[in-house]
Amino acid sequence: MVYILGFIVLISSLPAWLDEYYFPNYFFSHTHLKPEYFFGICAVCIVFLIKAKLTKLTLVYALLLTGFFIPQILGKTMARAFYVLVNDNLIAHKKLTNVYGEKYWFIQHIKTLIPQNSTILIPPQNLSWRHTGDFFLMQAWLYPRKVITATYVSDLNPNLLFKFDYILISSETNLNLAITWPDFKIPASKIIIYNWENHSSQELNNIDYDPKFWLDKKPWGLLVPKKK
Amino acid sequence: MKTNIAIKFLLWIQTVTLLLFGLNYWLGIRLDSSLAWLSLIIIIAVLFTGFKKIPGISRVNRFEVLLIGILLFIVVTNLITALWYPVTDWDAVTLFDFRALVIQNTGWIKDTLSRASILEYPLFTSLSHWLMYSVGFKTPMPLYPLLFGSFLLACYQLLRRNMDRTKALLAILFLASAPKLFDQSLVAYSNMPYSIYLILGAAYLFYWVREHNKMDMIVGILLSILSLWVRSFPFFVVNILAVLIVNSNTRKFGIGIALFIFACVIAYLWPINLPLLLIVLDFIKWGIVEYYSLYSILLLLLFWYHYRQKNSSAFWPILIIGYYLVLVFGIYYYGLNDPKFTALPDTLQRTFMFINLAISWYAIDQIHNSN
Repeated sequence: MVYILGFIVLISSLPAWLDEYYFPNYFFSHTHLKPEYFFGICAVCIVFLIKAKLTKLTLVYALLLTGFFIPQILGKTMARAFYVLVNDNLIAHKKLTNVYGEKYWFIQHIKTLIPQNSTILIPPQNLSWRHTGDFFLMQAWLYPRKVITATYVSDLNPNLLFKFDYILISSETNLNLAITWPDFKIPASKIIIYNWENHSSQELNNIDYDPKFWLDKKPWGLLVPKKK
Repeated sequence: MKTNIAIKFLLWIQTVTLLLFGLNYWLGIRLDSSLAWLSLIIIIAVLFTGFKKIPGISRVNRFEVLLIGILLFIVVTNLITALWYPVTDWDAVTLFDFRALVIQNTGWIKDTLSRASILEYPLFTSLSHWLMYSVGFKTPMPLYPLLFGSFLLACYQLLRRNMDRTKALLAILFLASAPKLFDQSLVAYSNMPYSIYLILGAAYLFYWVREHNKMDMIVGILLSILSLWVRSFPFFVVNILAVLIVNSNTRKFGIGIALFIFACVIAYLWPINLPLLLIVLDFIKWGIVEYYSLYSILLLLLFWYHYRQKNSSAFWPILIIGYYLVLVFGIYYYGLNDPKFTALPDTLQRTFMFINLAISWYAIDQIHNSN
């Protein structure tokens, strides 16, 4: 009995062993079984071997599950409490930065520059502009400003872009390559370039937007198209 | 209606959001902060009038103090810390919370319809968010730990009817540890609220089958149907059918209705696309059965024990099998229109997380019966 129990304990350490020997997540990627669930199966085998009465089997198993999950819940709860205690009033902003990166601060800044009743054109919805081109996300973040996605603007003719109050300039990275948008010339009355270091912006007046000039500068900001 | 405070909260927050919807959508009354304050006052007034005392608070032993301490720590700490946490997750930011912002800005639910249809994504969470914003909260996140805590308290009060305090507290700890339940109480998705309404509805119906208290039946049916106001999934039908089948007076009728619905579904989907059905079954196998394998193992143990002992109620196993059947046909139907349905297993896992709560209730019932 002792040998069998020892063998099961050894088997239950198999996921950790395989993950360490080959690569992290090796066990899950090959079995689609989470290591903790494998632990559960081993726990059941142990319960059987120690000849727990059938009536007690589910009780022991339920206690094992509770014993496994409750410490995780307590850990998360304590971490949240600690996070609130040690951080200042910017917790909400920090959490959003954790999820969406520094782009969150860029959006917060441009919100201060754009009036609530204005219209803004954003990059097309594809992976190159993961967040700034995400229509639904930008719509929610910039609300009540009206957001138009370049995905559905059939004619991006520079001479017709004056109907938008603002056009977002974005240089999000796809892998390591920053892809700047707009990638076409636009007659502009104002270009506002965001400064990542001090979260401020610099205004350039009466300079037309030319992507060739801006490409290596990886600009983020806004441009105000020249009105007809 | 004299019932416990947790159930009152769960029922009244639904009632108030439904009323707000009706007033705005059908009667054309603009939603503003005075209406939000009135709603809040109604909820608070109802909560603190004629509620049942929480049973057995006095003379707790050290072990029970530990259990109560753990549960209170989890619920209260997350409730308080949620005051500083924003809505972060994509679906919540872009849909549930966004609709609340639109309503707050314009006062009209119709202005949210361009984002998503009400039938597809009912407005319970969005209107609750609006309610919280309108009365001065900077974030709606405390709503979710509050719903989580209400669920645990409501379950505790149900279990205490025929269980001693230590066992009931252990059972609540077991329910709280069901996969994804706690995690989803920290995000502004509708999966956790949906799960608690559906499963609490089932639990009340289960107690009605056992004790034949009419109020349990009313609350059970109400909670089950109100789950539709959170997500428009058909699982609540399983709750009703399970009661009809298990209750000896309505068994034949219940089986007849279940077979009729089954036949209608088959006829509607006929001819069955067998390769697609196999893909659906495989998706459920790795997306649910294997993903929640600890609870799948528990379910097998429970079935085996049920078969051997034959003294447990058939309610929970029928309910669980019913949920699985609805899931299979639901995904199959969805798969007919969207061939890429297997690309989002996490959505499936979140949506079907209530199965773990049903399994937990089944286990609690069996363990209690075996003693």
